[in-house]
Amino acid sequence: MRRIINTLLLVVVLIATLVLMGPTGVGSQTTYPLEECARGCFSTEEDFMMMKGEPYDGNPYISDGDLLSFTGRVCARNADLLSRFYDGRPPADLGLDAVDILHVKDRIIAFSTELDDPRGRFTAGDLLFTPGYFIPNRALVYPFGITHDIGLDALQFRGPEDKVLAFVRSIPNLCANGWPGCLQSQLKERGIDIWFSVEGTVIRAGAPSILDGYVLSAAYGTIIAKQDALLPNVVPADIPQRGVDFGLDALFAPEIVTRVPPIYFSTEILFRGERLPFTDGDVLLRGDGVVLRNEDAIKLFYPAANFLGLDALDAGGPPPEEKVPHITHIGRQTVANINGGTVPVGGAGTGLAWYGSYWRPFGRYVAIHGEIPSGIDQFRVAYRKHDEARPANPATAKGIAVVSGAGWQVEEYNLLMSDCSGWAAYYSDGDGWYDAAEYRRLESGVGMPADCTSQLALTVWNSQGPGIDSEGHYRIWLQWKIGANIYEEAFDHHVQFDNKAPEILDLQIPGGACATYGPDDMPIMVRANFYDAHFLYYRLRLFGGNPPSSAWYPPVYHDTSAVDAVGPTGTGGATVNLHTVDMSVLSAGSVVTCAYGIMLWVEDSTIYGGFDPITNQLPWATTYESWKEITFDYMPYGP
Amino acid sequence: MRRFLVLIPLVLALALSIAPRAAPVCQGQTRLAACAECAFSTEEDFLSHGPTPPDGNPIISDGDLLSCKGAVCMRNRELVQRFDVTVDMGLDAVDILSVEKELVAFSTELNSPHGNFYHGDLLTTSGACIPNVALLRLFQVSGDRGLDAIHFVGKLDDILGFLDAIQRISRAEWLRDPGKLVTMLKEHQVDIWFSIEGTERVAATTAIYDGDILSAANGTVVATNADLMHASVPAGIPKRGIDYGLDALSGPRSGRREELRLSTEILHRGELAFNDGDILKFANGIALRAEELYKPFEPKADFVGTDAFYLYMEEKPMTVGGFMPHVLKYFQQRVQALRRAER
Repeated sequence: MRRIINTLLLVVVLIATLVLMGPTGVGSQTTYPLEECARGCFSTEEDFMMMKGEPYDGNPYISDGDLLSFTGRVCARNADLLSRFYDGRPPADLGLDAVDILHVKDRIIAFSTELDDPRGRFTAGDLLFTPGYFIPNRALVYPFGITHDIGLDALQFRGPEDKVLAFVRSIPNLCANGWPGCLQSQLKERGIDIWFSVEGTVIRAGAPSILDGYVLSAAYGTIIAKQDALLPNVVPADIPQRGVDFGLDALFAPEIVTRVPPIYFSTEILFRGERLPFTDGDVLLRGDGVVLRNEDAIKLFYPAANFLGLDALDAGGPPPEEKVPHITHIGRQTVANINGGTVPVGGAGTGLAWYGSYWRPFGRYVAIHGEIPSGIDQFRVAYRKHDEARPANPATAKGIAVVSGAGWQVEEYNLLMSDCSGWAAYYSDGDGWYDAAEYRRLESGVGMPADCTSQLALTVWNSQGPGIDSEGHYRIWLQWKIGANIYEEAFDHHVQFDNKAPEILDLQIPGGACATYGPDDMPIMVRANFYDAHFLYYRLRLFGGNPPSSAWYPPVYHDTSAVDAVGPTGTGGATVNLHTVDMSVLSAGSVVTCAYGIMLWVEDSTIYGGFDPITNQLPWATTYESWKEITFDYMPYGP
Repeated sequence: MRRFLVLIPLVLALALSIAPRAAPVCQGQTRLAACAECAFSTEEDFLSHGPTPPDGNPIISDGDLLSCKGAVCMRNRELVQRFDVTVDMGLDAVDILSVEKELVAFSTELNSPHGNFYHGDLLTTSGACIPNVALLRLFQVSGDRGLDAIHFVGKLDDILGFLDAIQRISRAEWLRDPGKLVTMLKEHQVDIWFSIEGTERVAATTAIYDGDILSAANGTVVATNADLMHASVPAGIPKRGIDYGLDALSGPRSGRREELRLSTEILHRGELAFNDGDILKFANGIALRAEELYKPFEPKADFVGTDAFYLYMEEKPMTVGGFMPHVLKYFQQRVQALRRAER
């Protein structure tokens, strides 16, 4: 009996516990794994079942309103996104039409739904935020002269992360007298923007048509990108010129402020052209075609079909970053190891890098690396001769350019193959200005699933290029643009060039070339006259005999011996004794009556950079070298 | 000879009875006549390089009602003009009920700027508006779940009678008494088959997906997404794994499921591959490729999506191998024998 009572008590306690805990539906989730989507997310057009594995809540049913990662994880259920609008108990799945994750840790996500709020508070065209507030569609389209709800199909916040978050957090206290017009003021004041696309189309005489395939700016009421800019020429995109509006169903543009930012998107309808065909579930890159096939986006969810469409897209939040643009390396050498590598403007320095126990100049191609944080439109590396002052007007400085004709290609992530087999053109304009967003995308993988070119140079300087003193001493510094303003690095970086190989002016042996020696003549003194502004070492080689044989003498650096007659620039303009050579260094069996020779090998200390733009290879080595030979006859038993 | 003369009227009668009948159209009466047999709307706007529309504007909106022969039957503004709307609202579902009366049932992509209809409502060109919640009343779904496809079922006269009866019912009245719709549908012995945009797996009497055909009169799933697709297509949740959606629906008024025509929201690349613009047969693959639908308009791309579709389908005559009355079978056999003799 006691056992029965105990059992009953346990049942009662269990039921009471369950009642107190309340329902544990999806809608009650407060700790959904949004971190899984920090590097990119999307939603599908249709619902499906995971045929393998299961999401964080154990339910293999995936709704078209759920937020999914490219790694096969459900980051948030539709109910998680809507939770704050319904006191934790959303009524139903309302779909997910657009998304922008603004802050992963704080769970701040901007999004739009497929369906209107059943309680009538918001529509499918409104811009919602997970904290539980929204901006009406009419406010977004107000600057376009559109006064009705025209839907919201794609979304991308633009601007510094802190400013965007400050704006979003203040939404409940903004625009009490109405959003249209007020939204634009708020966005402009904060230097941010909302890019979006709509569901409907407005074609009107006397005013620009608004297609649902356009990227629009909410702040400025401008068209950021038309269909003909988004899709390659082979696609008949845009109306009326090319003929078809392909729509814009999803959007992300990874850089904060850029001149020509990369825009990733998907369309509403497929295209079956012979060149660049795509489906309405593929991720496309502006002007570049497909970068991720739908089947690759969804495959890690193991659906029963290989196409589910694509309705929303985002790349996650930006990574933490250095805030001040600066040059870090010149010729693959850290500026800290360069004499005058980082000095105040006008400060002194030799521009020589300390490498391998010697100070060295730079030659041929000089790669320049640095840090380019977000918030910058363009950058360039400017240069001037070391004895010149910086131009008062920064725009008149000379920039180090690698123009498109150079064919510089950079490895990038291939979303289709999920590897780094993609290639992107990287180039400056004629004045050396580079697109900062493109640099960051390629160099740091900003907005991409992976970083494929982690050491992309800011630019590569051809030290033998037109107008460049190939033996000159220069200063370089970084310039960048934000809008129309040009900013400059507060430092100079000295760079010394040396592109001349050592000059061997004279090489002598006793008796002159073709002299005949016997054992009694050994050793013989080798004399030479050579010059290099940055001479490093010389060495001699004795060769000849039958069978042929050779032997190198050890290198003699300019500072190896205080007694030899060579110094930092060679032999000082005269023919001087180097050191003696002796036939005994050759293999004994080779020393017969025969012809022999002496080679003088001279190297300088230049850090010689290579540059293969097609493969983005920047090999480097040290030295330019020169050599010269002189011959003689030798008779082992005497002449 | 007399026997032959007696047969002639019978043969004519038989011929008339088995010949495919054209849709009931008064030729030249309205531009809608061009859509009497087949009509559709697209997913996206495009420029027509085919016949120039009567209004001279070659831009085709995804809200316009198009004929399969290459004519613009109604601009979007003409569809919604009874609602005082002048901007393009899109066209998500369509059923042409009377060409003579220019009576078209439809739904839009967008909500009315005036708030007098929403994109999930069933509208008619005569100004009727049935709110989405009324359609879903028997499914016990609250809130607008969208409306992606519609097809009226019943005798045409009954359907027209029903539409005439609801003409005087305002949207607000429907919202006050959404159950009234079921009563009126049953009174007129008609049904509205439809599909929704969203999915309702919790609150409904039964889980309903946007790929299912639903009955407004009975609150039942007429056909699940799995029913609609060929067995080789992994359609249907949870068993087969994918909901392909249902973007357009048409068929005979009798409601014979086997004769239905439909299109999906997403494409399929399996053995029986189809695109989301193709018109599919019920559980039996493609009836009409999307490009054939758009071809008369000569768009620059061969795919612009299909968002709404209507096909006039007269009931098929009964066949010899089916349930043809014995007397008609006899005369049909006689006709065939005569034709053989003439050859």
